[in-house]
Amino acid sequence: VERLALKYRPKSFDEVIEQEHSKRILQQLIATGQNCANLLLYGSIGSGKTSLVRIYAKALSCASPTTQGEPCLKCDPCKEMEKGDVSNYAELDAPGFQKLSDVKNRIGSLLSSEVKQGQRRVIFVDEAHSLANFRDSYEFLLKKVEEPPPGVSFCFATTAIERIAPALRSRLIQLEVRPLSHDRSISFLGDIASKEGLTFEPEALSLLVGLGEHQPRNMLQALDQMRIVDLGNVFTRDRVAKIFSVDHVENLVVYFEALGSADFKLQTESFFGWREPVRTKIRLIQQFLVGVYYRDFCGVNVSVDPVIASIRPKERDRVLEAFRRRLGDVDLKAFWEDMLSAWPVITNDLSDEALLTHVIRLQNVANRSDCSPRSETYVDRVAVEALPEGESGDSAKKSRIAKNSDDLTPTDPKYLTRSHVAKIFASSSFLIQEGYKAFNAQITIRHSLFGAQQQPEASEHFAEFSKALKSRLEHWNGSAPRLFVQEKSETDGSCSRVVAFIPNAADAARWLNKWQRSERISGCEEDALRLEMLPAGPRLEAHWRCVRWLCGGFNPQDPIFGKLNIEPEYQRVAGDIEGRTRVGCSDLLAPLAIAKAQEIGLQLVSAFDDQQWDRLYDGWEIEECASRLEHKLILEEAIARVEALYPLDGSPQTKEIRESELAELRARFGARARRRSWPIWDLPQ
Amino acid sequence: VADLGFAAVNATCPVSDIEFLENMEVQSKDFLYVYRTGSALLRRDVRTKVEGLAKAHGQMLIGIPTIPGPKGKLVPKLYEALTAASVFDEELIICDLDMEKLGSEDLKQALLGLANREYGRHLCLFVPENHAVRKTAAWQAAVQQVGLIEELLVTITNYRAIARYYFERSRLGNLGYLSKNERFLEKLKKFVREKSRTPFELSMQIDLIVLSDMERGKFRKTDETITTSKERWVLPERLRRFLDYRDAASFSELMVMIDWQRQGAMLEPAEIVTRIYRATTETLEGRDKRYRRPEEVVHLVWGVLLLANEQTFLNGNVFVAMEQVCQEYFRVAKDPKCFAMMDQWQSLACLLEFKEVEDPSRLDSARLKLRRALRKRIDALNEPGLAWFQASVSRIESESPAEVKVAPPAYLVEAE
Repeated sequence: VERLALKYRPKSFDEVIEQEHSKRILQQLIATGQNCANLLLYGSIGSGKTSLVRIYAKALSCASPTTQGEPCLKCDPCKEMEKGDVSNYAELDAPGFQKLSDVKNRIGSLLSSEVKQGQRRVIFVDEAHSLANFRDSYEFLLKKVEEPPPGVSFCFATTAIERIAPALRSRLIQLEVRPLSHDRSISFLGDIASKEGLTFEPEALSLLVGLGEHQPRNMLQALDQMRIVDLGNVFTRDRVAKIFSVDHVENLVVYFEALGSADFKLQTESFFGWREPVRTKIRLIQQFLVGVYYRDFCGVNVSVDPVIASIRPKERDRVLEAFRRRLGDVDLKAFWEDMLSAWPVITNDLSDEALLTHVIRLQNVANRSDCSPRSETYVDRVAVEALPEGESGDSAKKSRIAKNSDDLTPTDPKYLTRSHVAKIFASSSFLIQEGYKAFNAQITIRHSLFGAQQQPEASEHFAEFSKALKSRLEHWNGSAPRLFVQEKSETDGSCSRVVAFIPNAADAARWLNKWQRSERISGCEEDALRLEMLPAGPRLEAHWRCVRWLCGGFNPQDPIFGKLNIEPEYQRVAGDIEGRTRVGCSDLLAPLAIAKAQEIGLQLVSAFDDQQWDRLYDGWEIEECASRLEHKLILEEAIARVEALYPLDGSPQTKEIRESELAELRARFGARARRRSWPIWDLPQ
Repeated sequence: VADLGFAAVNATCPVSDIEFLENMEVQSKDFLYVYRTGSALLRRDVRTKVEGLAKAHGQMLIGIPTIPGPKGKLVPKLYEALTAASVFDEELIICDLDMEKLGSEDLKQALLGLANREYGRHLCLFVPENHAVRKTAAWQAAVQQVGLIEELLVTITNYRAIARYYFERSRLGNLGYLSKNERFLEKLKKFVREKSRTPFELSMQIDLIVLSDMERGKFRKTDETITTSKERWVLPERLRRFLDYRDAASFSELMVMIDWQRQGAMLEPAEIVTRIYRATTETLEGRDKRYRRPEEVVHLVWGVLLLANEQTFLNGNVFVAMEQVCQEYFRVAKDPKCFAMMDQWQSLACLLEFKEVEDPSRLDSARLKLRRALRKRIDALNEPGLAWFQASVSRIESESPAEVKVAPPAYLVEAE
């Protein structure tokens, strides 16, 4: 069976994928009169250096090269070279030389032998860095290269350019042969696989590309191996991983599930049962931590590493579910940040002992039951809407400060900050725009009346309550969107406030009355857990009252405090909760859910972000929700039409056209572009 | 001649090799030619011309005889060769000190003999500029007597003349049409303005511009060029946004870009660090005029954090390293007490030290420029409390030793 790397070796510059700069230089050398140049091509193994030199050599001796600098492939010299004639092309494998005199003799004889009339000779030294083993070898070559005989071109290839003497390098045109871009690698390998009758899942192809390190030959060699085991089935990622013994994903997921369940024994077993060097495992663990954080908590689509990119959403969900099961309503994003902070960047110079210490540290953090107090100096990594590409300079800064930065607002640990309030308003407005039921219930739980006097105990207690409440709300409503704030007052101690939708007040009161009744301090049973149901009122009146009640601990010194019109009876000091999670929400209202809801292209609107203070509570979200639903159907239909019109066939052109059409389509459905039948403010770009 | 930087040509004033090759009427029968290290662009042409002159004068070319040395090994003896009686016509010895290994005493003796006009035979000596013999009195005496042909260093004053000469004889054929292409010459000017170049470096640059940027004698207008410059523009822009706003949007945009560079465009970590260094240098130097505000002091912190964490970028995962450096930057920016801590400034001082790098890579050059920009900004802080710091860093040369490779001879400096 012919090896794919040989079968698909490019024969002209046009067939070489990417490498535009190198190709241009070589083609120009041919197009401007078949000029002999001295070249140094450098790049990784399998990147295509030899192929480029062979095409150049062919074009140099070609009887009628094209005006684009390509060999014609039809003339006798082209055909002879194709057949392996080496009279004008000598390929020397540098590691094969035993001593310098062998190098000198070989090159000397090549230079002294006659070049055929009208043709040129290429002396190609592959793996040229190996010559560094011979003293004076570069000096010898330098002299030859400085004044080569007419019609002779020296070409060198290396994977270690730094080992080539600078003096020699300075005499050569240096061309870097780079790995293919990820997208191009996928389409390259996908095309060849389909020509060879092999079918791959996209993730399997992605893994294969990573295994081939984006170098054409290496990727084709990997594909060769797949041909051997082909049974006519679709190659899945797991099968590819098994064939190459790189099944990191399952090991990673199992280890993280063990972290999620805080099972130290399982963590140790899964870590040491994973048969890879410690460094590899730890690097992958760190990259997985970062990858999950960006993808699942921040909604930012990054790869971090090819292995991490190949992990499916459902596998990441297994991990997150394990943490959620144990931690309940603890802010998982903050918890994840703690795990991220447990490690420095894992580098090659750390010893195995040091690396294992890091593992212990990570496990200690992961096995906690709550996140550590948040530092005010943490940068929020959540991707809020991106700035338009062209926007720059000071004008952009202005709008951003006004929107969501705490830079100019007071940060007093006794109060909710502006970003806390912004989060509450964003989630509350999203709730309605997405079609969930509006809040109508205010629940207060005083942890001190359950015996939890200190803040850490109070937070744990709240996690317990939140988990129970979630299960109950799901039982009543089918879903459990809710928001909470943790507070502490001098008189009442730690307490938490939750807003949610409760369909039946009597049922809820009964349940709340019973929950941990025996744990409550005698005589204070009723005060320990209180429920306040609000009458619906016109439009979203109850909903926004719930929100204002939740925001009652907002800092009155903040310039926008007055704009929110929080009822005086709701205003209070939220108290210092020692860095614990101040504001939280259920997954349905989390930034990731908000980002996902906008994925299709229907952007959300926010009166708070746009500083439309007089529109905060007028209930425009009800109409916006209906409009979103209507436009969503139209947009989905239109997207399906575009996708059918431009099916992905592996060609970058089709992909580009399709993406551009989709982008244009989505722009037409942007928040600003959508037509509305009710008055809305002038939406920002 | 004035174009090449010489006031006049006579026995005591050096002649450029171009002048020698182009139109000089030569009376002398002895020649001393000095060529630049790593250049010797016209060495072959000079040799051809000398051989032609010898033929015209009826001279015969002879080699240097070898005689047994102290350990019985055969060694060439120039002095012996020059003093030997000429059997037939006039004879000329051509000797390139890069090829022939002569004893220093033999060489000195031969040069003194040349200075004193002792020989019947003539000599054409090719000497690399860094050869030890050039420091001897014998050399000076020979130059005084015979004169000197020299390969010039390309400077802002003579680059056009040297380029014009090369255009007509380039490796890519006759490029004479470029003599009038102002855009092309402007590119060369920029290349030379960075630092003095050897003629070979200039010739390579000419070839590269022709091969990569031109087609059929004209500059190309291609999509690729536009894309590349756009890409170059985006990283500085995104980085600057993050450095200024330090918010989630600018941070995630930057991280997505870094991720794409590594996982999409498959750039090596060293290349990514190089690009980040360059973007940071641009910010520190305030090159982007779209930003009306002066650059913030906290930008210095970013530059320093990058330098301090270079190895984590190179030896770890680039994305993870970037994420941690950004977090650190954010922490410092929020709580800039570190500016008041002396140990922070001390660690800064060692990061700003210029270390000599032989044959600097792109990363080395980018790092050097970043250090230079940081030092400039710190100097401009004008903080009395930092006088000790400024004094400690100013002891280190402000120019990179790696960039000053060869100092031009005094007469050239005067001429310029």
